[in-house]
Amino acid sequence: MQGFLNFLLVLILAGVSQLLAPWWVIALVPFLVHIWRPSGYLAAFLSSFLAVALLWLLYSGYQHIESGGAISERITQVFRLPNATLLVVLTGLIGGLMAGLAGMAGYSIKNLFQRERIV
Amino acid sequence: MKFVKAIVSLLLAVSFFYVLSVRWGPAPALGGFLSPFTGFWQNWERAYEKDTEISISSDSLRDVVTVRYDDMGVPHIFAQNDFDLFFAQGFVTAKDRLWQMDLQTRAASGRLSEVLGPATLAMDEKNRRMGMNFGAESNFKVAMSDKRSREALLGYTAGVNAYIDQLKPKDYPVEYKLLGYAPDHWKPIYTMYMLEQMTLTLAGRSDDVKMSHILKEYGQEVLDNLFPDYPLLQESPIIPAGTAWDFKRLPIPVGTPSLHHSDTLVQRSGKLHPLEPVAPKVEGVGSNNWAISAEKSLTGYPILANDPHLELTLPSIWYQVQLHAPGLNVYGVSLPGIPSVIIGFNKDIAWGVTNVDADVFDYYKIRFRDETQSEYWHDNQWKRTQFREEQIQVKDEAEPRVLKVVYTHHGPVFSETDSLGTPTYYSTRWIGREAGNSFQTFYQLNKAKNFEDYRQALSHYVGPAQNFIFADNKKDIAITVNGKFPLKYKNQGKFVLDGTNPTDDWNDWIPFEQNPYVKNPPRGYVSSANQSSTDPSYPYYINWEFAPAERGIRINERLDAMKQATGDSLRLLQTDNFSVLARSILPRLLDILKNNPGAPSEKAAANALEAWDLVNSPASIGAAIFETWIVQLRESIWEDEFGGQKLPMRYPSRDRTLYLLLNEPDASWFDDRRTPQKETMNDIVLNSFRASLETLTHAHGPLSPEWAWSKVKATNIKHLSKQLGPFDSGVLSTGGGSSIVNAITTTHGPSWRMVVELGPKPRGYGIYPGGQSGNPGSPYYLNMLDKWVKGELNELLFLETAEQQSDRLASKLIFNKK
Repeated sequence: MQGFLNFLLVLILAGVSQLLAPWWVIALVPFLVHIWRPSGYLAAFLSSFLAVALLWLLYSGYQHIESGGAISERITQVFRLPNATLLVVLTGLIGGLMAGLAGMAGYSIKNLFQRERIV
Repeated sequence: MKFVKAIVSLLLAVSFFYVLSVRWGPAPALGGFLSPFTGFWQNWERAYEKDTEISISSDSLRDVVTVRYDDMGVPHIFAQNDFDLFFAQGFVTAKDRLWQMDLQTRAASGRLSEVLGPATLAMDEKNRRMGMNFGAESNFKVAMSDKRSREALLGYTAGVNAYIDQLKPKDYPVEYKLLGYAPDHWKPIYTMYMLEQMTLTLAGRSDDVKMSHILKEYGQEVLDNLFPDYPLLQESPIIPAGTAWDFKRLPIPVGTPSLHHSDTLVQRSGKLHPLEPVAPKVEGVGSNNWAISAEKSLTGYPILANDPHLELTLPSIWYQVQLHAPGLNVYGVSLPGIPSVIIGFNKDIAWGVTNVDADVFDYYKIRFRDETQSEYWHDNQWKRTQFREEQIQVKDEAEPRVLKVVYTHHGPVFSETDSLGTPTYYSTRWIGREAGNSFQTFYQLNKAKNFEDYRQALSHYVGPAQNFIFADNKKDIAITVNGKFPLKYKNQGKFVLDGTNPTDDWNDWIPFEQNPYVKNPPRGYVSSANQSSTDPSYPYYINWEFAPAERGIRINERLDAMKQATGDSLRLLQTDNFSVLARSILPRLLDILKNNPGAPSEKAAANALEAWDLVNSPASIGAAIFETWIVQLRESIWEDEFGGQKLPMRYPSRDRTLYLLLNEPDASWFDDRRTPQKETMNDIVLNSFRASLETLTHAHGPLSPEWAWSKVKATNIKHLSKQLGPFDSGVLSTGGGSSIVNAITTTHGPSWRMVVELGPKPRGYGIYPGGQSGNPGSPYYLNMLDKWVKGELNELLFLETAEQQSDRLASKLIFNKK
């Protein structure tokens, strides 16, 4: 449950903050969320990964389809990828991985100082 | 354990963050680039939608400005005063072309390394050394001292900056995201850099040094024979032969030959400023224009056409715009970065330009007193040089690189080192550094109503010299070979000049009124295609050599025959693929082939040539063989004498080469000096024929439709970065060629084709290869390309009022005063 709520929190906070802030809030948000609401290594990673991967996958996928691939097809070729779908998937994976690692790092730090209270 | 886990987690996160935040070689930092919120995913655009309206307010504006976009994405700007007009032009141009404007002004001013790093340092140094900054600064002073040009420059600048200021990083053009830098503010002087860049492209080179080397090696007689001052075989000059020069001639300066090209002045060693290997003039940088009189047209009014040939790039070189303000309503193409329209038409007149190959770049041999280079010998005394310090910022370097450029009164000094390591110093005089207000010419042409206005506008022009063609609805047509031309003695500047001798300086100018021009000639048309400005009867020296004559000959033949012409007749001439070059020389070459039949594959190729209709159509195999061969043939004749020499030289012209083949079959030049046996013309013709077939076979397999001219030529319009293949046009199916009216080569071609039917209401047609937007993710990036390839034109929407209704109008952009 904690994990699912954290997923929603990262999803919403990272989604909103990215409208204004640079890309790296996708690391900052899960990092802070998991300091604030510790869950576990795996849960921290998964909830952060899924939230941001979903955001980046869906938003890049939407723009790819809506634009008819106007820019994404060209960038796909610049990176020598076989097709633009792969670029959408890679975008999601890379964003997700950054968020997941940051979430896990957030949790691990909180965990250091939590020893007395939890145990 | 937790501690270890924390360290590992943190390390992982930080490392991955690092990986995503830095550039890896040419690749952008992936985090920001891939983010769908801020990265490249944002760089797509929708087509302008009907009945949509966007409002923007700015406190620099004085009144309301309305911009209406049509279905081609062309902005039609309606303003109440000049400042607001150029503000809006700056804004909408930046909206479509910001990165292009940035890159081109950076290149011209030698500031590329500031954002691209050491890789572009050599380029920056070269442009600094040319004195592009010097020229831009001098021109800028003049422009700012004139109220009208000042208003235009300040308005345009305010508009570009208003656009930049409202950008968020996610809105930056995709090239900024790829290269990892952000747009800077525009400065009014940047317009001058754009003009400098044009002057550099069109008039920024000369063969003086090479010609001097030839003179030294082969002597005066050979030089006069192989490098004559007027084409020997054929020419059809721009100002028709027989045009009277009815002006009071100025005394022509007399050269006092004092520089012996065989002597070597004793040089002391000093710091070398290498003479940049100046890229040879590319055939393909040139243009066509013509106008027919009312008598030749079906409409009863003149019709004008222009197609400037340049290196074709994406974003497109030109930007279409309509400008409307009190006293002004003009449509045409602008150059991003320069306010006003450069080639276009208004209610009353139409005008266009082609390049004049004027000799306005001269080298002077300089004698320094000592290695400090602080004094040089001139007019029998030691004179002081000036040092100009150029500071070049390089990305990621704390201190700017400092480049010291030595100037004599002529201009900046370069040096050349011969095989013994002895340096020779050359100072250069170049029209690009001459102060003036060429912008004023375009501004006044935009408003011109008749022939007098046109001439008045032209009188301000400095360079790059252009053949300004003109037609109006009072049924006048005219062409002026125009620019500020130094008044020289004959061939002053064909060779390196003597930097110590004041008579070799540019001491005076040809008065504007005496520049060659013709109004309403009896033949019923005016035209130009970069060929000789006049026949040899013109009293002054402009240059000893111009672009080859074939395009001009073809244009004039067809215009001579033209009757009851319409805009469409002129469009068909713009896309004419007939080869005057082949007509002139192919029969001669085929005779030689016929008498010397070779292997079956050679016979097949000869048959293809025999059957060829002399038209460079896209599918033509004959055209591909001929075009490959003619290049190879010229190489085979001259390479042993003039190519790959210790001191760089150049080949005799194409006209002289044809003359040799047709009239001097026994010339000793045909012998290849590098072989023991003696080659004849036939040997050279046959060997070059075989070599070209080998080249074609190697690249395209045995003779087949793969040898189609369009495939062999493989025109591809490249993105300005020259690095991003997916932003290029891809290979296009085009005919034409460098000697053809439809001058499309692999890299160069008609960068804008325009036809204007004058009349009570003008009707304009135009197209360029690309589109209005510079954004590869925009529907307007390449939307005009297909029509350009097919040789079709769009009708240009010329509005009279801001409220005018048209099916072709889409969205509106309103600028309000804040």
